[in-house]
Amino acid sequence: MSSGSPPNSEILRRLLLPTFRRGLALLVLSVPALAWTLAGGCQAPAQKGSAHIPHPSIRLLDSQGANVLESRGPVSTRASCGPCHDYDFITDCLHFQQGRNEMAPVLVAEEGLQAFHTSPGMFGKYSFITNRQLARKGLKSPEDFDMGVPEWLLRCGVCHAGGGPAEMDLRGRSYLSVPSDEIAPLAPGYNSRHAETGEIVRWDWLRSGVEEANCFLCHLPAADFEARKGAIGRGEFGWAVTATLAGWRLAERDPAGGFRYLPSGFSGDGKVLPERLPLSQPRLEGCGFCHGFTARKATSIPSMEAGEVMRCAEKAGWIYNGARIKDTVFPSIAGRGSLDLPWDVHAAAGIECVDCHFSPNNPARRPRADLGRGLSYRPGDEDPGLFLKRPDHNLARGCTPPVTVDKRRSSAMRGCADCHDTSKTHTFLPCKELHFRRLACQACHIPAIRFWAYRSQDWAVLLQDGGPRTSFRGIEGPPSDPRSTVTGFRPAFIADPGSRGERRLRPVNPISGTYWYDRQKRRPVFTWQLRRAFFEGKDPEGRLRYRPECLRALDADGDGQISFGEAVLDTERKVAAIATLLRAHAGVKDPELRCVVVPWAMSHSTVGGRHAVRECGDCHSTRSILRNGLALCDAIPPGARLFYLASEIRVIEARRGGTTFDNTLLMEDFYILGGTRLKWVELLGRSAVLLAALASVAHGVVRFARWRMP
Amino acid sequence: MSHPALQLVPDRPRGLRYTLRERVWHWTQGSILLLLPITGFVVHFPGPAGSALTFSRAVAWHLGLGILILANAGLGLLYYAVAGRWPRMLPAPGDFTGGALRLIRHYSVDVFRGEPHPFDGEGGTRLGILAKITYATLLLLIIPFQMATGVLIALGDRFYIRPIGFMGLPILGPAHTLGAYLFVAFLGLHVYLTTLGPDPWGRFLAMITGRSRPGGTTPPCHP
Repeated sequence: MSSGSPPNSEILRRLLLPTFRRGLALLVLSVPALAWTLAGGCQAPAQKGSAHIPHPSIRLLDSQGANVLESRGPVSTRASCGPCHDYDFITDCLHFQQGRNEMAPVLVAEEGLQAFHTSPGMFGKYSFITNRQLARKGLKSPEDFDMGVPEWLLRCGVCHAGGGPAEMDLRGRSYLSVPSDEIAPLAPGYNSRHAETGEIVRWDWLRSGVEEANCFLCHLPAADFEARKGAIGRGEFGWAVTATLAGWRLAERDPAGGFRYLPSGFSGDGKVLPERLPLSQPRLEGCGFCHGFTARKATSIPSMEAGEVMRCAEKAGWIYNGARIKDTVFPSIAGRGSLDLPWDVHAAAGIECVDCHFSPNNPARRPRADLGRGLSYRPGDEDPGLFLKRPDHNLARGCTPPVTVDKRRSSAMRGCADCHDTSKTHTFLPCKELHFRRLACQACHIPAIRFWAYRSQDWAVLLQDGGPRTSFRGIEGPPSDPRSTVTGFRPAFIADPGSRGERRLRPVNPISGTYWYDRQKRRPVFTWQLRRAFFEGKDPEGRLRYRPECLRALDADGDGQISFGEAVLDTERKVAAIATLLRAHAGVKDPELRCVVVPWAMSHSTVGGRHAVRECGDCHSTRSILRNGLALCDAIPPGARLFYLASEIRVIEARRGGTTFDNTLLMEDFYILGGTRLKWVELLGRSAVLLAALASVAHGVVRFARWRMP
Repeated sequence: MSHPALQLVPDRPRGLRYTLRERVWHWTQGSILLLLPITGFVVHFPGPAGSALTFSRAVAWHLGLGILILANAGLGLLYYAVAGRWPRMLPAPGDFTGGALRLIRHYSVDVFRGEPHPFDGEGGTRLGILAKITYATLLLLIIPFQMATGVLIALGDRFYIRPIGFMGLPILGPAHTLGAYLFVAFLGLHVYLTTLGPDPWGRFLAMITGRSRPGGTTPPCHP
């Protein structure tokens, strides 16, 4: 050590003092941050991978570009979000268009749909669940007008994210920009059939406003779905986006109509800070608004009316929930004590919807493998900036039946094998490759549905309330009754090409629908026509009153009502009676009954390997689960034409006390050892054995008789 | 006949009906061919879970037996090729005329009168035309067909070729099943026909001991 060197204490002081000062400064600075955090300053829920840069502050602008705080007009996402994100690019996708941009007969035919569908998407596709049909362009007669776009928005719009048909007419013009003298009398975008009078009435778009793409519905955790639903239900389409923000205390309902903004939610310069509006990637709760019941760990699944916003949960019965079934408090699940498994194993693992159903050009989520070239990782050169400007909202999906919307631009979603390395698992399974090639993963990993779902929807006879005869499976009692016990059900199976083009068996819930078809007009008979045929008016209490001919045909107990049990067309006499009513009162010259079976694919309610189908005998047996004949409608009406989707394939068989799903014709190219038996092979083979046995016995008897003879 | 230099199998000793090799081969083949339909039956009509022979076990046994029968059949073919004896199992053109009619008459009429078998005492011709046709059908058609379809089913996992429709289980499965039924029918007839003759057990015992019972007639041909 040199004589000029400072002592050790001085060295220590020099070294530690700056560190001490920095630490003290950090501590002082961190106190407010800590306090703010503890106070819940950031209301965004903690999420998987929450290390993200918050969305910058935004200005909420109206359609004229003015700050809504000043203009008090509805929020315009085109004006507010459009400057940074390409609004027109984003909204040109199925989530917003829902088939509006596919209204071409050739596209309808490509999807194998019958010509009366207006498009292959939810906007234009006929569904026997609602028995409503969107009016098409160029109609000449009011008799052919069922549902206009405004009514579609009122009834169905709550499950659609705005934009598309909620903003533009079928010719791509804003509803607000078309002069009234240019609107055709039966233009579907501007007219609706009045529910009471049945007249075609013009919709006032200037009063209702249009619903632009509702970015907040998906990109805002806990968007106010109920407030939006209310706004749409009241016909305040223009306020639907603003209503979505109500739960974040940025706006509240104005008793005079519309919404008013709460200045406390805005910063001093009129912006909304990220902590007030924590925009993020879509969370599973947001997807659940429209697609089915989704939750991270919910022990209660709210009671619901049929037709409520549950879509896939209602149709296929799946529940995407991370909670364990045995912990479910509501509804009552039969045998839940023994069901020590999550409703969905992926939800329990914290997998979000967008993990698989991602934006195809999202560089953070797009699959990197290029297995066709033997690459498990292929570097990409995607520009994240481009994704932020133009995120593709044709979200990756599996295209499972009965989905037909925008399949041209459907990109393959992340499949099971993109995450799970099956070469290292399933060691117990013989003929692995063959099983994987012929069975969808869901076939074993969705062994049962622990919820209820639609069984049938019959419009052949209207009930007293003017609606269809609806039945459910997997529940004892009506779904809307909190006392009903959910028993669940095992799925049926169909062979489906899926998104990868190879026919594989996958679990579905088949739903049967019966409806009247007008052969002269080549379209279903509309509900308003059915009501004219069945009812002659209302009684003093406002209830619909059946026509006497209808009661004579169907009212077996003579109580003046047609009960649920009586509303079945199971004899030719009943069918003829209703057909006569349709001819006489509904203008249907050539009515025909049709019975269609539509499969709803099950993709969730997945279980892990421990609870999956593992026993060979479950499939390879005379009672193979792959042949599960789920019950469908209570009777096949005599003379009804039977369809499977759009094809005349018989997949429904009459059984004692009802009908069942029969997938024999759908699985003709499948041979399940122990489960498949061809009738002619069995007949020929058994005859040969029997013949040999009889010949031997007969020959032996004659020999024996001759031997006994002296 | 094979070349004399290749005739490694000695001629049959005088008085011996079936050589030891033939008997061992027959009963090995017979045991396997008896077990194959049984395990195949369980595969085709699986019992409930917990059965003594479950589907997965039946498949494993069926597969193992299939491999054994392949090996045994291969050995048999090798023997007949080397010994030069296999042509006598095949029907000759002349068999289809007089010989066939004589046999049909024997089994339908003469056997009830206690008449001797028409081909008894015809030296090396132990097999009548019906037996030859039956054996030819069995050995050259049914068993190879069952083996081929069985092998394709077993290897279908690895050699699945979509464009070739007949390679798929929907064709192979029913074909294999039908072959199995026909084989079971043959097996029944085969067992019954061994009882034909003066002594119902004579032929059965001959296939065990290799010799006919003293005093009995030479066991006639049987399919």
